[in-house]
Amino acid sequence: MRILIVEDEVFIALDLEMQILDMGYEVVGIAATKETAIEIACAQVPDLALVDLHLAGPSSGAEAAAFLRAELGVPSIIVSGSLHELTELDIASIAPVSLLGKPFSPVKLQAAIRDADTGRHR
Amino acid sequence: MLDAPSLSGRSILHAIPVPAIIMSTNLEIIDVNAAFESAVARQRATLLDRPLFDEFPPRPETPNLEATIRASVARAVDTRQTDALEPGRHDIVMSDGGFETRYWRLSHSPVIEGGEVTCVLQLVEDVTAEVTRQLLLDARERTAEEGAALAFWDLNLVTGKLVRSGGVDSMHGFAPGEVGEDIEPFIERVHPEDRDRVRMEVFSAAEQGPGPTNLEHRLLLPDGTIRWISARGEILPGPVNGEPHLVGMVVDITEFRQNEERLKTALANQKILLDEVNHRVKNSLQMVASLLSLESGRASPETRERLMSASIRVNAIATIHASLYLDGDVTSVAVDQQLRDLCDHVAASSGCDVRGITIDLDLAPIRLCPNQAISLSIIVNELITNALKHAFPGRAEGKVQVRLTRDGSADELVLTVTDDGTGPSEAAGEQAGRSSGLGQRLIHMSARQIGGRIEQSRSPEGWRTTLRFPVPG
Repeated sequence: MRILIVEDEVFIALDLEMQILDMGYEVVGIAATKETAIEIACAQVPDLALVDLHLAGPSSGAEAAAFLRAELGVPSIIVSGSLHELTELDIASIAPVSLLGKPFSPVKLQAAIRDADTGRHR
Repeated sequence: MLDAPSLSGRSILHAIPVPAIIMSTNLEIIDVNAAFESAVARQRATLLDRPLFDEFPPRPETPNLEATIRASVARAVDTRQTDALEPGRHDIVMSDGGFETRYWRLSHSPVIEGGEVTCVLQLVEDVTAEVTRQLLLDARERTAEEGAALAFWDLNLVTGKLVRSGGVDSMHGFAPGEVGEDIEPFIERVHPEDRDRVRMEVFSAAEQGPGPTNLEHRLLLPDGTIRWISARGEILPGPVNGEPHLVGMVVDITEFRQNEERLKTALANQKILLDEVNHRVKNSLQMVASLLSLESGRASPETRERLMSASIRVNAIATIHASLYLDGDVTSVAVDQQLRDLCDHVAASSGCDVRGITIDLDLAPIRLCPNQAISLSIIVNELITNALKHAFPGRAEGKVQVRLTRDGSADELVLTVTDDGTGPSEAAGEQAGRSSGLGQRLIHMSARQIGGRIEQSRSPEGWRTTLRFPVPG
């Protein structure tokens, strides 16, 4: 499975990447902004995105995830320290595969990604 | 010399007890009586044979006055009947040159002698009192309409008599009917600290004349309650001797003011909370750094090195929060001070003085928001530790220079880290390359995060890495 990481915190992004690589999956790129996320997604068409709600500056992770879902059919796992900020409208337009609160344990991350992988093939 | 009525005609004019003038059909004054003189405050001698509108020019508020009067005179002459006008305003000049507002009811009657209209008799009735009474009533009604929930009042500024709606009384803590018409009991309930100001503003409003006036002040009720009220009014001349009245409304704004106070307190509290959070984050991060350091004590050399390097990276972030807490300003960091602390820590952890390596700092006093400060801190940490690890293999001494300046022309900050050791192309072995892999990624990703770019070059002082990134103003 080819995965796009949308996360602006450098350490966390690299950690996510390492964990995904350790699981045997591929990372197509790390995007810190909504624009970069859309750019990479259009070019690489990943199977799944890991998206943080809070991105640098005015960028919105929620908007990026919604775009990926609507325009490219790319599903997202939402990772965030502020899941409570998600509105019903957000959830409807993003239709996330799952929600992961921060801080997350490696075990939870693995479970979420493996579930997405299984669900994909059904 | 105008056609004059007979002497007996003139005598009758002077006997008429209301103000009256005789004028020609084209409105030149022939004669005026004593009542007219005192009504308009003019001497008879100065008015004889003068055109009416030369002596009583229309005022800007009443530009159509002349046309109206001419039309009335014309009607009287044509119909040979008295033509009466609705009350109109015509301000008159007083002896001191000022104008006084007056309302007049005029009528024009043709004087017929020998079958001809020889002149016109104008009777003038001063109806100022009647009109201003009505205006006052209208103003009260307007005020009452504008705020059904508001209290209105009408203060005679000369007599101190206060006519008001019940809301004014209850606002001041009086039961209905508890106080009479006098303003004094109300002034007494004005907060002592505001009383002088209130008196001054009321009287200066009286002096200023027509126009709206605003006043906010506190009330202190006998039971100790404090209220804030806002009074807004306009000055009107009253029906009796033109005494100025201040007519207006008053609103209780205590809750509004209390909300303001609450907001200020909330803001202050928020700052305290933010302080507290920064303090806790700083402590937590230091705990993590210490944990890693502790673990390294029982580990193999290679693991120890990795744990220590991780601990130092955590510390690079911890120092940011420490600065936030110390400063008092929780929204920006003094990066020069913070980088100095960071370099001290890295130098000590790497045994720089033992190895004979110095870190020179030349940092402009710059403040950045926490995010930028953290990214900068990570980059500096990586560049320095990289230099310390790889630039001086087996050497007795060396120098690392860190410079931070502002490039005003480009609205950028420029960070340079220069070491006079071996450059990356000369780095010994792939060991060096691998272990700096993560470090290089951290440098480039952090640079990207703050919109900056990294350049590497060889300078006279040694191998240099330059970071340029934009900062507002």
